[in-house]
Amino acid sequence: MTRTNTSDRSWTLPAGALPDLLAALAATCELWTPRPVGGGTRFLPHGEDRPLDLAQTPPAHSVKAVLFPNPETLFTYRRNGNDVALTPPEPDGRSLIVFGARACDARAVAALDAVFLGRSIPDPAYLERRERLCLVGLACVSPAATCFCHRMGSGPFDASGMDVQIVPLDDIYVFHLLTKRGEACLAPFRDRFEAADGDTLKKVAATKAGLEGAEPSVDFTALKDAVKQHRDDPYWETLAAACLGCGICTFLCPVCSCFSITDTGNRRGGRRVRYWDACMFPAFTKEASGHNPRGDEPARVKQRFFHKFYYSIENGEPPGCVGCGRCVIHCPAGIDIREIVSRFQPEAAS
Amino acid sequence: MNRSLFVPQRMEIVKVTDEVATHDIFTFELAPLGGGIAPYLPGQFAELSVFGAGEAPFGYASSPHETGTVRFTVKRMGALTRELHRLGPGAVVGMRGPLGNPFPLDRFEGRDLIVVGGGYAFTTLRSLIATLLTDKHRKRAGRITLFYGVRHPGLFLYKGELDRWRTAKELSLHLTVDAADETWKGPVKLVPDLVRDTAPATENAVAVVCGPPAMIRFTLPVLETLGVGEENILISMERKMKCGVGMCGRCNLGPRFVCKDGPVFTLKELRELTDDY
Ligand SMILES: Cc1cc2nc3c(=O)[nH]c(=O)nc-3n(C[C@H](O)[C@H](O)[C@H](O)COP(=O)(O)OP(=O)(O)OC[C@H]3O[C@@H](n4cnc5c(N)ncnc54)[C@H](O)[C@@H]3O)c2cc1C
Ligand code: SF4
Ligand code: FES
Repeated sequence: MTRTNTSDRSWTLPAGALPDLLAALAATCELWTPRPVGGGTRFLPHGEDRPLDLAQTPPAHSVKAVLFPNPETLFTYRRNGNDVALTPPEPDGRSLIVFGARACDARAVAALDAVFLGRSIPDPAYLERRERLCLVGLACVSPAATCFCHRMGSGPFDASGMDVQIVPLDDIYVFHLLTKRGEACLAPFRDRFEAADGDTLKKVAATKAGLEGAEPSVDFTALKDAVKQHRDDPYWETLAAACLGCGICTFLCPVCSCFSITDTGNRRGGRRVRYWDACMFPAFTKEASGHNPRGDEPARVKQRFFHKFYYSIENGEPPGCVGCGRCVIHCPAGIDIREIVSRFQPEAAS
Repeated sequence: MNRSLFVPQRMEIVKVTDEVATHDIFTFELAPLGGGIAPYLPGQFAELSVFGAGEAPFGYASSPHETGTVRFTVKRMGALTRELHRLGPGAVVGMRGPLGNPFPLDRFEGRDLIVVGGGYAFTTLRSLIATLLTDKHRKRAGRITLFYGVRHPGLFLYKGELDRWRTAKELSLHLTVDAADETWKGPVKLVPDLVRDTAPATENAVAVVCGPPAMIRFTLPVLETLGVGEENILISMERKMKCGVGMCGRCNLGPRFVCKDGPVFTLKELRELTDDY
């Protein structure tokens, strides 16, 4: 501690200095930044080809695509006479920085961890990226009308899962260094920053207080019990009648992580890949015999919400929804996950 | 499984046996190319790969005491199984396994066992019975009553072995067909009816059921009526699978996964998990 009024864990950067910082990070790290593609912003390998977009809240596409790429090569195969050579992809040694992830996406990483790291054997590719990950998050100063992270136990300033949290003020960014990994990623660039002073930290606190939620978090255990008791509720049929089965809700969801595995190539050589799949598609569970345990729309709609609010909780995993609202924005049938939560938990926990 | 999760072990096909009159069920005997065979128990399964055609789950048909190779009996159904059936000795395929949980062999000690099977699902029961007939288990198990039914006599798997089992004193074998031909001397009835009419003793029994969904559905009430409790009826479940390790999300029965929590469940567990078994 040298100066009393400043923090050595909170640094400020003039807004105009951000592009240079990102360029410097990209020179040594695998850096992903949110940039617009069409109307929707997604995380892409950093480059000058498209502008940075830190405004779209939340970005149309989530951080899931970085940790769980679609598609992903599991190995390549090459036939040599009768034998076959199998080669898994080479790991990347660099730090993996995701810049500008929101609270909802950062929290979703814990749910992805439960799936990819919580089984008897961790998923090697996910683990490899996860060990390199430095999540540089961005507090949301203008949440969208569809955001309901408060109800899902979080909030725009929630920093869980982040290594660094950035708070944008008028013409500066305040970087809060939250973990050793966050410090290690930014330490080489320390001279570009100033230590945040007391006034700045007060401004951050005031911004945060202005965004504290009026809505309390749901009680996930009570929600689970209620959903579980409504296995046969005709409500699921009403929802299913509207659902088009397009699966956009699952693809945009930062938590949904179901996948399929297939071979691309021919008998001589090719790749085995996994790609995003969805419980909303009939083929997801259709067996070779034709039997399909979730052959009708209500069964599939139910699976999606049961997985999020019942199975995850029952298995001691994080809830399957973080309140980002992407499915609310993009569902062409207007299915609103917030209504489902409210229906089964009208009197939210106080 | 000591290999990187999704990279299979390379296995050479050493023998292919055409099992049935319809020539659509083959048994593949596989030997590892590098590395040994990871220890497995009856009831577990493996994902077999044909590179270029994909991967699918199959129960071990061999039994752990049959060392050196493993066997899988595969019915031709769709993309992968069609390609596999085209391969002969010398071809290299992939294997990831064992996956899932075995039959609870400890629970069978000192108990009578009622085993009910139909169709190709009999493979995993073959592994179970062959294991229970080894010296290690034979002395500890009670009496085994085996019911096995197929549509017509040409469809029985492992005919040579069934003949040997006829004379095994620990086992009483009950075979049935839906439709007879001139060679068939046994009963012509559905599996559930054969179980009901045979009425094996159930006081000290555990039942294992494995077969097509309709057979399972009609056999369960028969077993319960005969007096086997729902916690003593074990069913090996089948669901479409990809990962085999509880990640890809498709094979769940409620909060459980058939791949990682099954494939063997008690009837009691199934009733709590799903309406579809
Ligand atoms: C635990 C378990 C044990 C099994 N044991 C055997 C066995 O010993 N012998 C045997 O012949 N069959 C067995 N099956 C069924 C076998 O997996 C399917 O017949 C096979 O997947 C069909 O693959 P396909 O590519 O030819 O068919 P397609 O219809 O082309 O299927 C495409 C892919 O979907 C998946 N899939 C489709 N149907 C099933 C299914 N019923 N179960 C699991 N995955 C499926 C597979 O990945 C398959 O490659 C078992 C299934 C399970 C779940
Ligand atoms: S709100 Fe929709 S998109 Fe967001 S986490 Fe929940 S289900 Fe997924
Ligand atoms: S096969 Fe992937 S979860 Fe069971």
